[in-house]
Amino acid sequence: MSRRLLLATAAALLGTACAVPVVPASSSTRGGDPALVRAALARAGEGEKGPTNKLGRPMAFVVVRPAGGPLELQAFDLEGKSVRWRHRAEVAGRVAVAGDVVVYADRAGALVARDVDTGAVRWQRGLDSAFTRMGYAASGATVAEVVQTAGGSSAGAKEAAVIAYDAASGSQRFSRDITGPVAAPAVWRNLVVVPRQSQWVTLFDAQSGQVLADILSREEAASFVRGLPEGLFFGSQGVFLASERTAIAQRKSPAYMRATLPAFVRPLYHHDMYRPAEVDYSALDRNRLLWRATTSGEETSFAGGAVVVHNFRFFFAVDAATGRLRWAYNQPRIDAISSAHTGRSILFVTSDGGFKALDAASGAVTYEAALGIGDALAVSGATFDAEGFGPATGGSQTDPNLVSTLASILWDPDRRFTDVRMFALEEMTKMGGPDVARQLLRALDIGEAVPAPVLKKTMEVLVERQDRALLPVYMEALRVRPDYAEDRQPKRLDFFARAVTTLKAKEAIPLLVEHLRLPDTDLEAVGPIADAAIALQAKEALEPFQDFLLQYRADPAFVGDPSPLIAACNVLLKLGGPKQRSLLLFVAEAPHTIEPVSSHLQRSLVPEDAPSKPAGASQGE
Amino acid sequence: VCLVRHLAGWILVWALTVGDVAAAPSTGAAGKSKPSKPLPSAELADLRAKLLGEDVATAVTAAQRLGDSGAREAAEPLAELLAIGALPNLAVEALAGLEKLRDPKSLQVLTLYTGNRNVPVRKAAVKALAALGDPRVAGVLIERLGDSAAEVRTVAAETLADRKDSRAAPRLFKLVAKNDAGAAGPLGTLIKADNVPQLAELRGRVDDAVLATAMGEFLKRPEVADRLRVDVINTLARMPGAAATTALVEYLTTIPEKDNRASRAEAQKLVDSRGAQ
Repeated sequence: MSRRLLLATAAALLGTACAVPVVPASSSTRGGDPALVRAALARAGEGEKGPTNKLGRPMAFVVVRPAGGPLELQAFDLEGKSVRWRHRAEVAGRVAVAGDVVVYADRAGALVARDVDTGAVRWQRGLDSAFTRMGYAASGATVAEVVQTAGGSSAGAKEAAVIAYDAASGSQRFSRDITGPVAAPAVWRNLVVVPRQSQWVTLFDAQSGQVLADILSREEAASFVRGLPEGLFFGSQGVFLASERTAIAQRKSPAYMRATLPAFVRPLYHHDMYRPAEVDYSALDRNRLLWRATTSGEETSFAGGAVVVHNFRFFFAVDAATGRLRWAYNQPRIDAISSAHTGRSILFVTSDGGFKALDAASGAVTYEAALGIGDALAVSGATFDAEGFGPATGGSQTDPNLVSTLASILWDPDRRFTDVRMFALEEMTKMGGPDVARQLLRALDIGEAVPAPVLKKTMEVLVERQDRALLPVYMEALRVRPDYAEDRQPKRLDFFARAVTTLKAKEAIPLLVEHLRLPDTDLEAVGPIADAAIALQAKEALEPFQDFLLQYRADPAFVGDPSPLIAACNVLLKLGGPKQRSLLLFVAEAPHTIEPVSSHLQRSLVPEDAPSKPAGASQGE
Repeated sequence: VCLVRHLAGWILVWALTVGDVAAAPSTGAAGKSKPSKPLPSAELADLRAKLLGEDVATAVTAAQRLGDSGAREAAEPLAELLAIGALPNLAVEALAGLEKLRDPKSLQVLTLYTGNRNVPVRKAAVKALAALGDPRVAGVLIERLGDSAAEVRTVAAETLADRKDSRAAPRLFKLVAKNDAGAAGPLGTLIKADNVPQLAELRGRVDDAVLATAMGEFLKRPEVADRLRVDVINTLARMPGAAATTALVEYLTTIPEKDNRASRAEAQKLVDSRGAQ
């Protein structure tokens, strides 16, 4: 039965909010039973307040390839800023951390457990080549895996097993057959928790394998389940706190949370645990949401009212209710490969092995360390076991460097991330003050490093700001003439023309029209210069535009794009008097005037009566 | 810039009236035009009509005839044509005619055309302007040293060198530093002796041929101290290739027969040794 059909079946059964039969049956006969869910969660017991590992130290387990060497797993002591151990390891999946061991899947398919203190292999569990491991998890004294025993990893696979081991010894506690499709498990306190059949979250006793309860996610798929110190969570498009009230989970529940996010953000609260490929570290780890929760009874909300967007090199804390940006961080040059929200901090490791912690409230950098100083290495992924790690900073929720950080993102030389730049620009436009204008003005000096849409949008923003304090800057820029000897080239005349127009700065017109007589002036600027002259009723622009029109009226180079000449005609039409009308009549009729110009003039001059005879040379202005 | 401000007035006079052409503002600083035989008024009228007519080939011929006539009044129809706009190839012919006629009244329209977007037109305008003796021309030529087209820069540079206008030297130096071959000779003509060591320091960053051309021209200047010439020759001695040898040979040809200056011996020795190789 497809996941969609299952969803439809479940929905049909959910006419009432009471418990419904599990479809298809696990050993439990009832699903979505609040009493069973309450009892199961109570049976889970208390969780750890700090790191899971038995050392009690905040650790990072990093998959790294030293230059030219084989893949290694390194245990990095975050407090001591030192590598505790390192071993060759063909790691092919995320590292999961229990009290005594860390576990991972290797390239041969085995589940390998290494001693958390020494890194020595404690035990291994192979995988039948006919089976597919959907995923594995660890916490406390338990390691669990889910294996699809038929049907591979397809959504139609129905036969699966949930298997749990004693973390220290690797001895199997139970193997329980379960009807699929089944996702990767989570271990939370004394429970093994497995999403299955899209809508269900089944809670197993971690010791016996007994099915304790089934939670039904009624309105959206439960593609992940995540155990945190503050509770057990599941969801996909949003996040539910597992509780009696979410035994049949609905979005209207106070135990549901979903952040308002900027458009560029991929709303990935957790990877899709139905996809075995996502068991390994991947680009998903660099483009997701970092969040923690505050719970009060059965209600939940995002901790601090914010979620943090990790987008490759950038981190943005966003108010979950409004989408307003609180702080931003730009990791220079290289990607943050893996990250975690420790409660206090956003902790991450870069591709070259640099660790940093950002204060979760303010974004301030509070911690830095390096995996191997001076070593050439490439980090491919990391798991942090560092609950609560990070120096406290006093809890300010404002970022004093927000403008400069956003500007650094906007003008970053890395040509990826156009959407992120646009977001940074959008946020800057919401801010006032000279700092913002100064940073936006850097657009004038930026070359090809920044994508054209970003530059264009920045220009538009500057024009729209109508900041008269910028006029001297504009005037100075307009004085720049192209000069090969001096390596000088005026930039973005079209922008300046629009900017001075919005500022009603008529004094800039002589500087603008001077560019009409220069051979290398960007022709795309002629239209905006003409618009400026017309908008500001600048009659001093008449003569330069006359010169321009007459000089090029017969130039075939303008046949392809006659718009600059048309613009010149329009200036004369709208600002000129009889003298200019006579001149335009001449241009319309004269030999060799290019056809688009003569046609335009004939159309433009028709509505009014043509002069009975050409205006005298001595008349006019 | 102000030179072109009255152009519209010209246009209206020339393009819209059928009668006589109004006098353009006098520059008061005319170039030296050679005395010429006036064009018969009928022929002038005929040529003007052809120049402003539909047929381009006829107009080109008329422009050439007007330029070749050497007649003072022949400049007016050519300037008139440029003022009302023409096809680029016809404009080039009109500008070439004005170059020959050297009419000071064409200063404004020529200045306007030194900013034309079409490179052959611009180059022709710079040449025509350069033919005028008006002191205001120098400013335009110095500006055109920054032209994006090498051929236009070269015309401007050579004209400024011919005029011995040392104000151009700093910009010419910048062009040579950018390996602009067209600026090399003019820089050699105009560079201050004090700045020659800086020129030599460009070696390695600029083609030897460019530097050799500049230094060769410098050697030819009669006012240069011979000791400095010897230094320059020693610099040229370190440059392999034909350009340095050519510069030395050309220098030797400029020295009067009975002049036995030290630099002559140095240059000759170097040329001889290169010949022997």
